[in-house]
Amino acid sequence: MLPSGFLEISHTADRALQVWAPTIDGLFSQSASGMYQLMGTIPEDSRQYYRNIRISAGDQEGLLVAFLNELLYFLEGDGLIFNDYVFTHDEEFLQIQMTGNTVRKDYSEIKAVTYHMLEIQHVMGVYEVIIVFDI
Amino acid sequence: MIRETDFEKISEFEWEIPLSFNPDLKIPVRAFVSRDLLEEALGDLSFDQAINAAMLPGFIKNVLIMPDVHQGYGFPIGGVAAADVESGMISPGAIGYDINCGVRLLGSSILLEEAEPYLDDLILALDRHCPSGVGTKGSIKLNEKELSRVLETGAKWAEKQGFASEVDLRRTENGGSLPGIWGKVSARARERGEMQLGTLGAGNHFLEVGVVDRIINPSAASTWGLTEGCLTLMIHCGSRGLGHQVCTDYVKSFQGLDKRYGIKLPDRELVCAPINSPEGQDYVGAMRAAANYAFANRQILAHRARMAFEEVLAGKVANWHLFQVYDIAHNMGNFETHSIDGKPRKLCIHRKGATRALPPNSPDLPEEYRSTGQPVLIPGTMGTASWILSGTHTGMKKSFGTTCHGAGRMMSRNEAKRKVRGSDLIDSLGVRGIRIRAGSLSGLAEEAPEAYKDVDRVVDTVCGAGIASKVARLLPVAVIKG
Repeated sequence: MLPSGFLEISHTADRALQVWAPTIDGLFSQSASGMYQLMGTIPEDSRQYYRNIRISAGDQEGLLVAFLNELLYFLEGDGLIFNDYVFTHDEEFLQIQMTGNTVRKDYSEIKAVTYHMLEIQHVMGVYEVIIVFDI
Repeated sequence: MIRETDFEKISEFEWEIPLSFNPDLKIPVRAFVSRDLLEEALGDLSFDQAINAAMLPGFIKNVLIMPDVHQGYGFPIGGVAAADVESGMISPGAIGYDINCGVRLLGSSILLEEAEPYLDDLILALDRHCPSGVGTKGSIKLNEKELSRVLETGAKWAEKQGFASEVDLRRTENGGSLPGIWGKVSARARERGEMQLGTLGAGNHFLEVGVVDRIINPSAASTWGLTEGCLTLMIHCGSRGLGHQVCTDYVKSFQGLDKRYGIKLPDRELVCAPINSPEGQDYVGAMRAAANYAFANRQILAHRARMAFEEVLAGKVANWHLFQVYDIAHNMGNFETHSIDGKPRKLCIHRKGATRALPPNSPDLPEEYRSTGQPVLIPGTMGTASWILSGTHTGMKKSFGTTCHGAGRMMSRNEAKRKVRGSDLIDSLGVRGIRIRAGSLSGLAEEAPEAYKDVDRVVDTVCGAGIASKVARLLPVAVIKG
């Protein structure tokens, strides 16, 4: 198995990913990359844009959902996709500095990230999760 | 793994997973399926999800499954659950992210053969007037005050702006307006809603010009204005980003309530709160506000579709007007009174991919429809029929006045794209005289007819079970998708 990555898994009407990485930050980054791949997003050009977010949730799964839903918000509102993340954890919040580009407008929509079957597992040094998205 | 042998056969079209299946079940699961559709539904996790829902406290009688069921993300699509308003739970995940995703049907006196020379122009005009696709913005930009009015009054706002008639509202579920509370909708959801009113969206949302192919119930069809050979327009869309955000917000804020209220949660997406709790009431207010947005959205799209018809057909056909047949929701938590063990009870009916179907004489129907029962709009796929059904008294007894909502997916999107090319689909439908305008060939392939169940079998099942009755069959003429 590669140290980090994602794989689409079958779902009747929606989309689902299996994601894995050696670190929790890596899991978050790969989840973002996987979600963008499901949507078929392509950067419009090389000009860079920056956004900082601060999210909180009761657990890592909640943070993952909140993070991915923030990405959907910036995609819909600002037309941005991100490819570089700097994660800063403190007691209450996860802060993320994000760098990205504008998107070409021919991608498929994801309505939301769900909590269905969502459980981050840490087995033999690898963090792994299944994420189901509402299309 | 659930098998056919786990079911008790109640009748040809009713199968039940009894309480004895699992000690954690609070109520049985009742499925309105034929044997064939049951076998198909056992191919994914639909029934596992229904069983999870039946383990939650506060739902009564049974969790219902419609024949177009498929796996969802917590609660199955094609699932129905009823909660007592005083003592039961409300679950945002059992209503869905696209709150009040629904269907509107407009009818006409335009014969297909008189409109045929102008159909290419008509589809272009509809595409221009009714924006579709990801990231599209509508032509109506709402300020905070106007948006608050949309969220609190729904299609009534559209009527005040001149986009709707009194008939349009009368022939919309709930009169197109629920007591929404805009203050329970987050600032982010409101921001997303400001620019999207009057847009179709993407995915499986569509506009479809159809023709009335067959009348099965002439009396009901006549009451509803459906005439064989005449054009119809079907609009399928919901509450757009605002609705998605409302559900996202409340699924998040409900996390942890299971511990507070002592609920054993089989799936986090099924988070719930007592309807009468502050959290439950907040969600109800927000859900209704989002539902109002969807009612207003479909009303604006109907208004703009009428503009497209006028632009292309005025002066070319005898009567180019489109009239409202009905507008239904298929993702909703509706508060209704039902007879349970002979006594009236106020319930919150969670319908996710399922349609309310009121019987004749229901006081919640417009006067002119009380003899027929409620029109129920069942879109098929791009290449297959759609059905117009009516609600029945049997449905009120067996299924909380509920029936199916469409054909129901049975193939994943990836599998559909592997098997079907969008360009080939356009060609093959074109040979049959069906015009397609789509924002994306890949998205079109995902929606190929072969990805869905046979809508005729789905409709035969609900009618065989007595929870709906056939009125008319429509065939597609032109489809616009985002």
